[in-house]
Amino acid sequence: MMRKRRGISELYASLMLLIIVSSMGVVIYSYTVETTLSYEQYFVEKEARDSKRALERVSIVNAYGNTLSDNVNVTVYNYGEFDTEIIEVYLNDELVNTFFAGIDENIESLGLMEISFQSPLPIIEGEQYTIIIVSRIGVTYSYIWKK
Amino acid sequence: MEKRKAISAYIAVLFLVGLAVAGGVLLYSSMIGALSGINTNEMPQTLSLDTVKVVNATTCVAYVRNVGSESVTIDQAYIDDSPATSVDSVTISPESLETVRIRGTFVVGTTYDFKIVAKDLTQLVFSAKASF
Repeated sequence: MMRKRRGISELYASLMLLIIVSSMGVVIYSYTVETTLSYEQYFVEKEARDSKRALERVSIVNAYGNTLSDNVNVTVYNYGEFDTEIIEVYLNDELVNTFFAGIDENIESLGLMEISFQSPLPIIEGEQYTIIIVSRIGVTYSYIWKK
Repeated sequence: MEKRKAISAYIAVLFLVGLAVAGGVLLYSSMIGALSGINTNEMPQTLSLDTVKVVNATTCVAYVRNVGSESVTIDQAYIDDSPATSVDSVTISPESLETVRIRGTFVVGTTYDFKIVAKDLTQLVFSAKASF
């Protein structure tokens, strides 16, 4: 004899499957969109930063120092199309800590800036020094200076 | 004939809907938990070297700048592709400069290739000649 078994209808089953698939789709879609946008923003920012770094043009045009006071003056020329700032100076790989002028100041495009600082090393007549300056966006420029 | 009793269709539907919702919530929370680690906060940032100096036979000092938008924690260092004896675990905030001390064995006149690696896999490669 045939037994009668009861269960949910095909309509309910289809609806439930539809709900499950739809909710999974929404989760995956929202995650994908969010992640893609985050990655896009990351790469846009990185490209902008790298472009700016590549386009920055700065050079040290002159340096002079005092052997008595160990004060050093460096003249920086910005020949790029963007304004810049010098935020760090090194003398023979020693970090300069004391500045008198010119640090963290805006250097306009095609502008000059004199940076004055206390040398972390004694300035000796006839000695050669390597001056490294670092711009706000992290580009370094070096200059060999012979006193 | 044996008569068997079962739950009604409505209760079965409600039960299955509840099961589906609970499964969905579990799946959602586990997916979000598993995937939340993959975001731009953990994407490699940008490090820049100001300057580097081998100060003695065992220590190299690198002035490292973070030009990215998220903090970076230096985790490991390599000298000529071999792990350094040790490296300071330094966290560098965006647009900040930190001194990173890498310890190894250095011989005067030799140029060494350094690689420092952050926890988010940001890397910085540079070389320096030992001339202390």
